[in-house]
Amino acid sequence: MMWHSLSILSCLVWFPIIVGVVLLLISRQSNFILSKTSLLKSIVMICSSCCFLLSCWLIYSFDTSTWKYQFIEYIPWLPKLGIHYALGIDGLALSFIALTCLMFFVVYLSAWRENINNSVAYYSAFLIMQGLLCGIFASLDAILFYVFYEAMLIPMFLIIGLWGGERRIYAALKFFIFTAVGSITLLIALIYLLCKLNQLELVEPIFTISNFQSLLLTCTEQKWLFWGILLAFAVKLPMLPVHTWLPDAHTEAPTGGSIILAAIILKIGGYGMLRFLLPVVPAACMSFAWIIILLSILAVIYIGFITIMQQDLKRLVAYSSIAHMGLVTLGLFVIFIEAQNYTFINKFNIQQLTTGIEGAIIQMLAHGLIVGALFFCVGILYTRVHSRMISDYQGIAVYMPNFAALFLLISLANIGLPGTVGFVGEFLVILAAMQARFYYALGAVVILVLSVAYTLWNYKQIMFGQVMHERNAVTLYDLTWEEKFILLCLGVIIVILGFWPASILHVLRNSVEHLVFGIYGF
Amino acid sequence: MTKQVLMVMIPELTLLAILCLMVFCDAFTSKQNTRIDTKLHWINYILAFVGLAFSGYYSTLLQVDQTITALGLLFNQTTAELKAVICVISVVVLFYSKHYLQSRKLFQGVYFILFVFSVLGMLLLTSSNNFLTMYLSIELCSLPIYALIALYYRSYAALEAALKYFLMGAVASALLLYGVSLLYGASGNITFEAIPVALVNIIILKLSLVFVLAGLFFKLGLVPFHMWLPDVYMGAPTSVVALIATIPKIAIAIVLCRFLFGVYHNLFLDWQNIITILALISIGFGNLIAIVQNDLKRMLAYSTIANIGFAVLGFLSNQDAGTYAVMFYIIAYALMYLGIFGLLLLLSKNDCAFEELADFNGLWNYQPLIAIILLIFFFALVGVPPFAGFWAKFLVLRNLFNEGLIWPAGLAAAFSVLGVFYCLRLVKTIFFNIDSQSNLQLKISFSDSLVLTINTCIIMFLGLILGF
Repeated sequence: MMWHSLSILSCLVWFPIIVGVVLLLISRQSNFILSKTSLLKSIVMICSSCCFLLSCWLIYSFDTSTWKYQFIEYIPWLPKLGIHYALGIDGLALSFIALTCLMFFVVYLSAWRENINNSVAYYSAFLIMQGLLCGIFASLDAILFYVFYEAMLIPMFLIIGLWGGERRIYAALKFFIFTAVGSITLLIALIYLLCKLNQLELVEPIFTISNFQSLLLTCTEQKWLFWGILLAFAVKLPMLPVHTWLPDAHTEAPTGGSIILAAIILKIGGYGMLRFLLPVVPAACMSFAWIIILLSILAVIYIGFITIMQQDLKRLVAYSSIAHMGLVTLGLFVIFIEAQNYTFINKFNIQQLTTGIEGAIIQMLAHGLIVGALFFCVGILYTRVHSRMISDYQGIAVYMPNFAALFLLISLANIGLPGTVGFVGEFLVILAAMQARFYYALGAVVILVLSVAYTLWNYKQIMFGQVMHERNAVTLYDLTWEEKFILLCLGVIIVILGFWPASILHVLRNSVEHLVFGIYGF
Repeated sequence: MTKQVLMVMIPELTLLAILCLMVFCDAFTSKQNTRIDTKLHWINYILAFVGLAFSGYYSTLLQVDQTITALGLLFNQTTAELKAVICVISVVVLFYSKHYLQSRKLFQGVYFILFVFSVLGMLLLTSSNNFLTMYLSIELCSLPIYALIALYYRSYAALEAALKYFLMGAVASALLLYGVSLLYGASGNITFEAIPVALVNIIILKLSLVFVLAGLFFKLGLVPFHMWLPDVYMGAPTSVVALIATIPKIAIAIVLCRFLFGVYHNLFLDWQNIITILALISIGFGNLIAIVQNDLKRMLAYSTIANIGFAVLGFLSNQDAGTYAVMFYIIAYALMYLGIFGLLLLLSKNDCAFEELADFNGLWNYQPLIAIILLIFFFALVGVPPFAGFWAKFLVLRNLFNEGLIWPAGLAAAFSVLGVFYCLRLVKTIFFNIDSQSNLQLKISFSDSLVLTINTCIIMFLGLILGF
């Protein structure tokens, strides 16, 4: 393959990392300059705005008529091992990269007014993570994906542990250990696939993900690989038995950390499933799809009930994330049950098969936007009252009317109100489940009822009612300009995408169709 | 000796000449520590430094086109490169330990003489071509180390460590010698290459395999020959531990390559089983016991056991890939331990010795860059991408998969994840705990921090040059 030069994707990956590392290194030497934290915040905002504009430009110049990877960069890195520095995006990766850049912009802006101790390290950790996360979504080479995937754990661990809540050490250790143990099985599976590809003795062994998808694996191999790859992404997503790290990590992380954890890192699990699990081991997916679907529906119902009982505001939002992610796995795997209803797949019924996967992807994007905004709202409340317990809040709407309006919009989006983007994903997934079997849809619809229960209950408890503590009158100031700006932007995006989901679907369509064709060997 | 042989042996000959000079200088020192004595000690230090640096530099430039064998020694491009690595690492160890030795009153000519003798032994070991040279080199490399540990006679722990290491090392050398003598007795040959041809008695071959592996695994530190490691690491002065942890393993590994792929070439299945079992137990045991340690050097000793176990798994493939994987792993980990022990040396030079885990409480708050460097080194030890440890483990795992040994690979990876626990324990202590003692002003000079930074950068970016 030719050497394609480094271009915009490498900028998106390495520019934040370099800025973060440089900030960290010069922080001690030029303490005087950076102690004026406004300069630091300006540098960080400029950097993240550049990345955001780059991602907007990527969206603008992306060609949506093909499933092929675009903006490809390729450098032969370790040719003897067959590992190459290959970056490239298709519709799926593009939407996640755009979400990442937007969410990090929100994170930096959310810390504008906060007084964080050791803020240089805080911002540089987030910058390094931004670069690594973009690298995860943009990488075409499997081992490069794994390198970014694991390397991302280190800054996240430090963020939770250094700037978190009271039980932050416990939460950080739990997060790291859960994810590291899960990732080892992914490494074993990837190295196995590498060696398999090596044995084929291609002219140029390139271990891109698409090459993996073209391997022919026996049934037993597929079954082992399925469990190996699934474990890693099930921990990340998180799926039901291995979800216990998420409430602790989300609750104890600082506001910015929670936003990134919920909005982006959870989506890596889904993205990994789409790239590594579904195309590479489709036969094993077909035989084990019933387990995943059962776990997803169980997650939706069980976690939904648990969420209602939460008394900690952040924990409530965290548990609702698990329930929404259960819907994602449902959408991804219900395609295998659907396909059994057709005798053969052609381009006429491909439309119906892609519903589930498209629904899952839109659910991921929607959930990223919504839960990012939700954690941001929770952060706003925390800066006012410094407590996470719902019982400490009552009657907030009296003092913060703007906030009440925007918080209501986002809570309704979390429920899945038609007109917001939360509805689109859930509807598509339930539609796909209905096409497979009636009972799957029945189980999945429970999420609509339960999310109404906990969200409206939560909203009422915080916002309405009598004003409880008179001291709140002093501390409860309404939204500042940057908080208003972020919430308005996110709210507008949520509503626009709710009324015009075709904008995302248009970008995703070709990639998803190519994926389904790949699964069924068309 | 022809001119060619002389050219190739210049590193060893230089060290020998430097040693003569150093012994000569040291003869004039007295016990009274006058100013002349201090100057003589410094002259010895500089001679050692210059000699090792020159040997390393010369070995880097050396181009050996064809294999030269002379005097029971073997010289090819691989040995030249390994000698360069050994000399460079020993120079850096000397550089790091300067302040530590001065503060512990160990900065004596005797120390540097023993140091250079040991490194000379390791250089000869990498080139050894027959059993006699190998055994003599192992002894030449080990005996000065026993004395170096015991030189710190004020500490009971050091004396105990020296005695333990010496006794166990003597027994292991005896086992090695017995195994090797069986081979000689049955075949009449002492060269590595001649044995598989000359010896047809499989029983003697298998018997000697057990003894030779016992002797060599002792030096590496595999279970069940690992008992000396924790006590020696904990008791010996840190500068000697920096020497033990990094360089002898490189030399012993290349000798093990020559044994396993050369002498015992036909017994592949037998030693494959032995190595798999011992390596897996080592990885599990080392990582598990490291979690509960409170002394940092002891924790590093157990992590060494685990890492050597993983390294030795690389032997389970064909010769080229196996040698490359094992040597890359051991050199990468030698550099990591060099950095960690170097940092310990630089931190320990004041009165407060950074040996307990609790000494690191809250290091992030008053020395953030050192905290980050320790973070990088420890995550590299465990095998987190993108640092060097991940690439080393990746090479070994890939070799295992290529040979079809999936279960050993899976178990090795599973056991090595246990290492995450002790790494996180240290990171938690450094970053998240609150420092209860007063603020210490730790000053590290510019040259020390420069070398430490270069060390860190090598560990961070070693993955980029994996292909060579």
